This record gives sequence, C-alpha cells and structure tokens, in this order.
Amino acid sequence: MANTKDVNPSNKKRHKENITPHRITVSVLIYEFCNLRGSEEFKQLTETERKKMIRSYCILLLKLIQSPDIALDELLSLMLNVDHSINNVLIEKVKQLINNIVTIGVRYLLDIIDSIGRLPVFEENVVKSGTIHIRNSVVCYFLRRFIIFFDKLTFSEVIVTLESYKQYFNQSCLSKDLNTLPPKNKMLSADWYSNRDQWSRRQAELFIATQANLLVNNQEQALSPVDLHKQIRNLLKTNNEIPEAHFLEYLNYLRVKDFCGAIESLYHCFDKTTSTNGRGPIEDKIKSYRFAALNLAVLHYHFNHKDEALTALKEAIRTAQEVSDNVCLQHALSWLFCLTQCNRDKLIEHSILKSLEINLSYIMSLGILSFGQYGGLTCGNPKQIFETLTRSDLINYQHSHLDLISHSFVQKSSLWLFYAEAIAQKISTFNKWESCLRMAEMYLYKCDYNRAHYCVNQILSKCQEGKRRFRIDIQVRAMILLAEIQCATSFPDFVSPGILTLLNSSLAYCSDYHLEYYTSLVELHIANVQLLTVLAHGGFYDRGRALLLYAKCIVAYSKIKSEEERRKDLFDAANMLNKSREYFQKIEAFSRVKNVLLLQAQLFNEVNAVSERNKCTMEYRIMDEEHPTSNSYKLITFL
Amino acid sequence: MDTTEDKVDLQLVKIDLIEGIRECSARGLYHCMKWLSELNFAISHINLPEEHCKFFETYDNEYDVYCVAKSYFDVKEYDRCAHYTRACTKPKTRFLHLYSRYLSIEKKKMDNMTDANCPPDPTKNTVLKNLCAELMEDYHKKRLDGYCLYLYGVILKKLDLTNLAIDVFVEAIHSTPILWAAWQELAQLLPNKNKLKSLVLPDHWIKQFFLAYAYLEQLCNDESLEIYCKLHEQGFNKSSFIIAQTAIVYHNRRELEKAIETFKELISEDPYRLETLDTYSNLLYVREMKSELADLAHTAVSIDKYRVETCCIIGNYYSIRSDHAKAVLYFQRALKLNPQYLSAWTLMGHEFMEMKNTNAAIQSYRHAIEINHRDYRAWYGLGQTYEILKMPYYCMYYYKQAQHLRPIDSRMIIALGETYEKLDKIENALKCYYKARSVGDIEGMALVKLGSLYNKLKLTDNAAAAYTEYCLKFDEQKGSAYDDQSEYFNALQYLATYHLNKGDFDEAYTYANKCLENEQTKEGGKALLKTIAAKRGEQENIEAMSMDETGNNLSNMNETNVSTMDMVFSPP
Repeated sequence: MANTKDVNPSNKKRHKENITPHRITVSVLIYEFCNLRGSEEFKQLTETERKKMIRSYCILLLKLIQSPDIALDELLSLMLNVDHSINNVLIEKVKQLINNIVTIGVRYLLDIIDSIGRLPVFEENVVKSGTIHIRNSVVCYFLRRFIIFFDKLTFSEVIVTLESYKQYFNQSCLSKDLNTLPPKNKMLSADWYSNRDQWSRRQAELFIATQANLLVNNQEQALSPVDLHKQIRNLLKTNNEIPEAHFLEYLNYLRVKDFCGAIESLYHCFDKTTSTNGRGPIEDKIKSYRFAALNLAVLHYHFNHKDEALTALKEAIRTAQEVSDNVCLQHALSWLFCLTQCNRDKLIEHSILKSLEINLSYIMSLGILSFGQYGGLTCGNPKQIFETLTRSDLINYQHSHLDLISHSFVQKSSLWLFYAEAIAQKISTFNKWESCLRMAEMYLYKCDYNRAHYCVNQILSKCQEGKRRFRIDIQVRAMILLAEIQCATSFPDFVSPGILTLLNSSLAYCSDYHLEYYTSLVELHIANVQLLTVLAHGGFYDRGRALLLYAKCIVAYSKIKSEEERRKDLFDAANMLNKSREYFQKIEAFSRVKNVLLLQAQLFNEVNAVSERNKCTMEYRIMDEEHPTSNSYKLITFL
Repeated sequence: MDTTEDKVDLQLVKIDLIEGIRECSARGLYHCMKWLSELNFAISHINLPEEHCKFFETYDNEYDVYCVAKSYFDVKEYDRCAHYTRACTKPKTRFLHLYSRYLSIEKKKMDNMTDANCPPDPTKNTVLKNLCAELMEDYHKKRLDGYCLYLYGVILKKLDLTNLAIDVFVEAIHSTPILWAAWQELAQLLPNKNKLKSLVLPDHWIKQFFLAYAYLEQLCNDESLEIYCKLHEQGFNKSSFIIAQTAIVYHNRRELEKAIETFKELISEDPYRLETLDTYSNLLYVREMKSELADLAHTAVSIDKYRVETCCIIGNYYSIRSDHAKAVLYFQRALKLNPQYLSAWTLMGHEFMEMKNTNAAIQSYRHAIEINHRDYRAWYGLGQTYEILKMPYYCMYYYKQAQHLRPIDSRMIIALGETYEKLDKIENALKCYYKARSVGDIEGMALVKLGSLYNKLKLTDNAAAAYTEYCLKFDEQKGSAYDDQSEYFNALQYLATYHLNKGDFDEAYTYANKCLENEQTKEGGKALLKTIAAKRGEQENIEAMSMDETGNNLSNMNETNVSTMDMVFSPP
C-alpha cells in the first residue's frame, strides 16, 4: 500500500494517440507512394522528373504529418496541386484504395494495414531499387507509430475506427461521384479549427499555442473574445485534461476585463496543472502552487487591485523562500518592484544580480530596463543609465527577446525626451528665469513653438509691466529667443519686420549696458535674418553681394581650422562664388564680376588649384579688357 | 405412427402459447417467454376466435409483435426489439420501439467507454440526434402520448437542451400524471426554487410527492420535511421512499441523531434496500459510530458488492479506521461503476488529504466541481488543501465559493474568518466570526475563535464575554454537538484567569474549580486556585489591617484560609 500515495485518482494516463481517419489516409498515401516508386512507370521517368516527384511529395507528406487533421477533400486538393505527369496515377491509386476500404470494409482495412507494416521503410536502411529508406526519418517515425497504435486496437475499436472513416469519407466529394474532384487548393486553410466538434490533443495544443502567442504579441490577429471563448469551451469537451486551455481562457477573460471569469479560469488551470505533472518529482508538484500564487498576484495587478496583488505576491514569495526556489523568487521580485514604493532601487538591483546568477535572461533584461526607468525618474546618472540599457540590449539580442528589444527602444527615446525636460525643470529650483529660458530653448529645438513662446513671454511680459527688474542679460536672451521663435515660425514664407525691430532693440540694450558678448550675438542674429531676407527676396545684385559676403566669412573662419580642412573650405568657397558671379553677370555688374573673379583666382591659388586659377585669371583679363575699371582693390573692404 | 396425431392444430397451439407467454412473463421467466414468443410470432398469421381475444384487444393485430418485442426487451436485446417493432403504430409497441432504440444507444455508449484507443466518435451523438429529430417530428404533429413525451424529454436532457426538456416533461405530466419518472426528471432539472414555483402542474395527489422531492433537490429542507410529514400522517408511513427522503432531510438539517434513527427505521422496514445508504454511512462516520458502520458495510457487501453505494460505505468504513489507502481504492471502484458519482470524488479528496497527498486531493476535488459546480464540499476541501499548503490568500477564493453556496453554514464562514485572521485582516475575521455565531454556529467554534482573537488583540473584556457565552452554550448542550472538550476547559481556564486579574475572586474560583474536571487543565486549575486563595488572603489582610488594628485579623485570615483550603482539596 505504500505506493498508493502516488496513485492518481483517475485511471493512469497513458500517452495515447488516436487512429484518426486523416492518419489512415496519410498512411495510405505513403503506402501508394512507396509502391509507385518501385513501379516500372516510375523507373521510366528521367532522373530529374523522378527527383521532382519525390521532392514534391516529401514536402507534402511532411506538411500532412505535422499539420492538424484536415478533411479528405482538402487533402485531395493538396495532392492535385502537385504538378507532375505521373501525379494522376498516384491520385487514382489512392482514391481507389480509399474507396476499397469503404466498400469492402474491415477485411480490406486490416489487409492494407498489414501491407503498410511490410513496407521497405521498416527495414534497416536498405538500398532497394536505387532508393534509400531511412528508418529514423519523419515519415518512417510516423508510420511506425501508426502501426503500433493501430495494433493496440481491439476489434470493436477497429470497427469504430472504420465507422468514423466511413463518416469522413461520406463528407467528401469522393462519396458522391468518383469523377468530380475538389477545386485545387494551395494552402491549408487558416481556419481549420472552425466548426470543429472533435479535437485531438495535438490539434488542441496547436490551437492553444497559436492563440496564446497571438494574444500576447499580436492581439488583433487573434480570434475575437467571443469566438475564442466558444472554441475553448468546445475544445475542453473532448480535451478535458489540458490545463493550458484554462490558461488561454484566463488570458481571454483578461482581454475583456472579466474579473470573475478570469479568476475562475486561473484557479481551474492551476488545480489541473498540479494533476498533469503528477508523475514528476515532488518538487515539480509543489512548484505549481508557488506559481499559482504568483499568477494570482499578476491577475490582481491587471485589475489594479494593488493590495490583493501584494498579498498574493507575498504568499508566493514566502512559499518560494521555504524551498529557496530562486526562479520563482526572481519572478516575484520583478513583480514586487511594480507593486511597491519603498526600497525599489535595492529590489531591482538585487533582481538583476540574482537573475544573472541563475541565468534568467528575460527577467534580467526586464530588470535592467526597469532600472533604467527608475534611475531616470530618480535622478540617476544619465551616462550610467544608458550604459545599463545597452547591456540590456545585448542580452535581448543574444536571446532574441523581441518584445524587450522594442521595449528598450521606447524606453531610450522617452529617456532622451525626459532628460531634456528634467534638467531644464530642475534648474528652476535654483533660478526660475534661467529655467524658463532653457525650457524655451528646448521647446524651440523640439519645434514646439507654442510652449517656447509661452516660456519666453513669461519673462518678457514681466519686463514690460515693469513689475520686476531682471538681470539685463536674461531679458536680452529672452528677446533673442523670441526673435528666433518668430523666425522659425515664419520661415521660409517671409521674415517679419518685427524681428529686426526686436533684435535692434535688444542690440540697443546690449550697447547701453556694455554687454559686448550679447552685442555680437545679436548682431549675428541680425546678420542671419538679413541674410535670409536678402537671399529669399533680394534682387540678383544683392543676392550676389550676400553670397560674396558669405564666402568671405567662410574664408575668414577657415583660418582657425586645420590645414586640410582649410583647403577644402577655401576650395568650396571659391566654387560657391561661381553663383555670386553668375548673379552679377546677369545684371551686367562687370566690376563686381571682376572683383569676384579676382577673389576666386586668389582662393584657387591658395589651394593650389592651378587650372581653376588660370581659368579665372583669363576670364578676368578678358573682362578687364572689355570693361576696364579704375579701382580693382575694393574687394575686401566692400560688401 | 398415427397421422392424425401428427397433425397439429395451430389454433390450439396459439392459445397455449399466448397463455404460456402471460404466465412466464408474470413469473419473470424471460428466456422461456422469449422462446414462446418467437414461436408465437412465427404463426402470427393464425387468427384466434373472438372469445380468446379479450385481453389483447388494445393491441389490435400487433399483439404477436408486442410479445416478441417485449421478450427481447426484457432480455436486453434492444436492437432486436426495435427491429421487430419498427412498423408498429399502437402506443405500447411504438413506445417500446423508441425506448429500445434509446436504450440501445445508451448501452453501446457505456460498452464503448472501455474502448479508449479509438478516435472520439463523431457519430456517437448523431444517432441520438436522429432519434431526437424523429420524436420532434411526432411531437409537433401532437402524436406523442405521455410516455413518449417522457422519452422525448429524457433525450432532450441528454442533448443538454434543458429548457426544452423541462417543458416536455411538464407536458408529459399533464398527459399522464401517474408517470413518476417524468416528475423525478423534472425535479432534477429545475435550476432554482423560482422555476419550481412558476410551473403549472396538474392537480393530482402525486404532486405532493413531487413538491417534497423537488424542494429537497433545491435544499429547501423545511418545506420538504413539512410535506413528507403530512404524507406520512396521511397513511404513507410504510413508504420506504418517504422514510429515506425524511432521513436525508434530517441529514441536511444536521439533525444527526434524528437522521440516524430514521435510517435505522428504513433498514428494519426494507433491509435489502441500498439506495441512499451512502448518506447513512456518512452520518455514522460523522458520529464516529464505528461498529454500526462496520455492520452496515457488511450488510451492503453481502447484498450487492458492485453498487456505488456499497463501495462508498466500505470506503467510509476504511476511512474511519484510518486505512486511507484502502478507502481510496473503494472510492475509485465506485467511480469506475459511475464516473458521475459526485460524492465519491469529494470523499476521495478527503482521503487524499488525510494521506497528505495534496495533488491527488486537488485533482479529486476539482473533478467533483467539474461534475457539479455547486458542490460546496469540494470547494471547501480545495480551500483546506491550499490552507495546508500554507497559502491562506490563495485558499480564500475557495472558501468564498463554498460560503457563497452555503450562505448559512457556519463552518464555511469560520474557515473564511480563520483565513482572514492569518492574513491579519482582523476586522474581516471578526465579522466572519460574528456572522458564524448568528447563523447558528453548529460546532460552537465561532465563539472560541472570537475569544482567542480578542485575546490576541488584548481586548480581554470582549474575549471573556465570548468565552462566557461559549461555556454557557456548552453547558446547555452538554457536549452533544460539542465534541471538543479541551476547548471548553481552555475557555474555563481563561475565564478563571480573567476574573482573577479583575479581582473578582468568586467568579474566578468557580471557573478554576471546573478546570479540575479535565486532565489537561487540572494542574493549571490547581495553580489558579492557589493564587486566588493567596490573593484573597492578601486583600483581606490589607482590608483588615486598614479597618481593624486590634489583632483580630490573624484569626480572620486563618479562617478564610482554612475554608479555601478545604474547598481546594475537596474531591472534584
């Protein structure tokens, strides 16, 4: 009696496979295919033709063995789809055989099963008529299982199987008229599970796995909640022993936020889970209890029942601690991080380190991501945070946690966004107006002109009302920013004259208060605005002059650069002057053209571009002959 | 040989055959009857003169077919019966035809249950559906009599068309009120009491039986008991059905003694009846009446060992002997005989719990719930299992389910309260205990729990009040339902200490004295009495000192001391 402790209350579960009509047909197909390969007809084909046929059928058989059971019509149409001269022979043979099974009955069925059992595939890797059958191939494995399970049937079971085969046959077009065939069909239809009363365990598992995966990763593609519920109910009628079905039901309930249904399915699932792994070691059995509590916590978390979730989580943690189940503890820890407000940094740090230790890459990566988020929210060091996030990315790529990879991207972009705002905001504790300016600056770069404008206005309106005296530099900076905002909003349609007025008044402030640095800054802006105005709206002459000035600026600026860069800049500037020269030439400002050519020639000379220089100087000479001018040295000082 | 003697008069043969068939049928000689009927059927072309036809006029010309069909039916050759009656139109033969077809389907379904290796048969229900369709057609043409309506209802029920089935059963009852089977099916199908009250039923004496039965199904024990008592008085006192049902009512009301008495009466009236005796064995189990249970098991096994009731009784007997593995074996056997036998799943769960095999226990309980979602015992059992696994929060869901199904059962509420206490939800726990007390508190545990919880919260006054009430109740019942004596004495001890601390020596003394009656609290009681005496002396000493300085106090003190000492050492 000692071992009755482990006896399951129901009959001992055997892993059994049903002999379904579909499996019989697939076996028949394999049988006929093998026969065909041995036939004279086949041998007369050319080598390539033979290989083509074999390849097509190997692929088809693989598909048929691995896919769920399908109707006979569907199977036939899949066969019809094979494009081969000898294909029809095979199809006819298979059809004849199926017909015989149905019309002759049980004697024929048993005979054919015997013949299948004697196929050469069962012999040890024999080379027979030029083909090699491999004992441990997928097809052979399938056939062997089929034979073994058929062998186990009692006679009455054989009769039941035959009856169901007749049923399967009667639903196909073969029963009505042997000559009509179903339309060609390339794919297994995607909704093979619809209108199904009978599910084999394998089909049920496939259905559950696909739907669960869709629910988690791509909910739109999954069945609608109502349909899914119907399918699960239906599936459970014939497959009572699959706890995962209840879990799928639980996920489905979560989707529609049905608390009662969700909790019922969850409990049902875990009560069943304990029984299915009843044969495993004791530790496994107890394990499911811990995870049951953990999942209960997750459920409550989903419904925002924080207190309940925490209680359930504590229970999971306590039970896990009793047997020091680190895996469960790590899962619990990462949930605890979501649920609790105190000591979060230590929790997450511990979680990461421990997960690393016991190789839970997903949790570790998730932990790092959470850590990044936490660090971001609680003034962590940005550099370090991004370093950690990179490490998470590394793990994600190593283990291809796709969801975490995208999660990481989201996290990083929001961190970047957050930092800008966070720093600017933080300044306000020291200096409100500085913060205001920085915020405006940031919004300007984010193209959020409204907010930027608002920030600047806060300062400027105060100034105008005269309520408050600012440090003059803040006012000036605000004015500059305002000008920039206006410029950005109106560009490139027009440049409002207000901008220049604004800049001018700020220039006045600057000179009044001797703010040399800001003076030049304002001037720069004025230059920019004016350059924009001229280039956008000026005549050729002015545009030419503006470009010339620009080129001169570049040349002046190139002094501080390295030799190589300087040469490149000079060369570019010289080329750019072509445009300016073109403008001048159009309005026949010849002295100007000559000035430009002179400058170009000197620049090319500077960078040793001899041929360009010579071209310029020659043009200059021609010009000079045609349109002599008195003073040729105004170039540098003139605009 | 004489040729005239050889010549057989077929008319004479037929008269003999028909007589023989009737006589054999009346005596239950089914195989003989079958042989005679077959022979009779072979000469069905022979017509009998008028005077011999009187007893089969209702069959018209179908009497021969009826005989042969009925004989096949009696020996359970259903397909044969259905085949011979396929063209019959008369009510009895028609019913026989349909009923044999139905039974054939059911029989094959049962037989095929052992064929586990074949694919789930999609045709299984098609045959039943075809039969159902045939009946439906007749039903719409109003060609079904009460009996066929009943059969139609049974098939609808099999196909899970419950509401339709209810309507059909009601029709059957109206057409043939005496058909108890239809009443019984109807009672089992009703989802709630309201549906029962909304039914339009024929005014027939059998209606009272139905109502009582239906009320019991809905666990409305009081209503049911009332009707059964009335029927009992009206002259049905010998009916074993009524006695058995009354016993179940008492069982449901937890009037255990009365229930046991009623069952004893039932057994003496009808000693070979096995139905409902599993409930009796549960009762004996709860009351721990070991020898009665052993006798019951003995009787049951000698009547029919392949009955679920028998297996259940034996299971209970092994369980009370703490031979849990064997108990499980017998419950498993009961489930093999009837996989839908609900209480065996639950009882097996209990056994697995005793064996500390929590997994198997959970599985058994879950199975019970899958069969009947309203089985509160299984929910409660699941709660206990998870409680043992030290998952108080997780188990709460199960207790809540159980409590929801049995809103006025104090055990569920107390279980819930204990869980709350473990989770430190003191307010909820208190609420539960109070609720348990107010709904009856069968085992008196609510007050004990309340007392100990208050004590834990250092609310000693409340704790004492709870314990006092508990002790009073205990004294009232004198331990009939209160099995646990130790709780009582612990309460007494607590009260003694409480009153001692309050300085209420008389009360403390009474309680402490009672403590002496129990082995466990005896020592504590003695110690308490000593302290009481000492304190009392001390107090009187002080009083005397302050009041009187003449020196009388010494004799006074001595006197009281002696008197208490006497009391202490007087035999309890």
